[in-house]
Amino acid sequence: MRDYFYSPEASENLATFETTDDEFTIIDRRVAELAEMPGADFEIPFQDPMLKPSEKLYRCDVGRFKLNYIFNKKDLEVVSVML
Amino acid sequence: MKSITDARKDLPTLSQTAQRKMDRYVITHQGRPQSVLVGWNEYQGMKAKAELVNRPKAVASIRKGLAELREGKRLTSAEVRAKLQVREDVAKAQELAAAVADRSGVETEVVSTVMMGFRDLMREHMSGGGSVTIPGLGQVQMAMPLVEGTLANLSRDIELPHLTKRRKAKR
Repeated sequence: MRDYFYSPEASENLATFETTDDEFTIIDRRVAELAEMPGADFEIPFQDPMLKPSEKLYRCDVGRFKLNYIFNKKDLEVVSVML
Repeated sequence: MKSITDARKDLPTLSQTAQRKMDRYVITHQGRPQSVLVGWNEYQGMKAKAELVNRPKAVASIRKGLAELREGKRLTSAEVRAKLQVREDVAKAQELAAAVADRSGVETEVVSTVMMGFRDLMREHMSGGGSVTIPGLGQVQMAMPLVEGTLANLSRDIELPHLTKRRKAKR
């Protein structure tokens, strides 16, 4: 089972968007599901030196939020959150 | 390239292959390209990429998030939830300070200063899991135990804006 984490930026994004506790519960549940079954969402063809060659950026839509995340064998990391 | 006649015959297979293997098919009509068949996920990815082109702040946010993760900075969901909760509490406290200021005629900044001072004292009293009695309210107890270190980080991150300014000015 993969662990999952949020970047401080993603946390800051959620605070900026005034995410309610209920909304975060839904987001967190979805992220936990993705950690079990990553890649179920679509890949964003995003090229950046910060991304390792083996890494891809994925997008998941949850309610009004768009989560950008990466994953590897060990864990899933939510990079940022957009509206 | 597939003629529209061939594409019609093979559509179920083409559609599946487009989604699974990310193949793209140019559909031609009378020998000229007319449309493209792409998988749904690829289409969504292309849309998202196009969206990012017009949202430089979102790209900067992704880069910042990636940089933080590279440095090993990451939060568990419990930590994110705690941060969101504290922000919500601060927002409520700000509203409360404004309301008290409005009723009493005392400046909001003064009320906020007193409230923050009161908060810090309460934390000291209750950090060990104890409780405190407030006249008119009764015994108040921490709703959840404080995780060592978390509180300090949260306090550092979240301050009432005008207090932060004042503290900086004092230095």
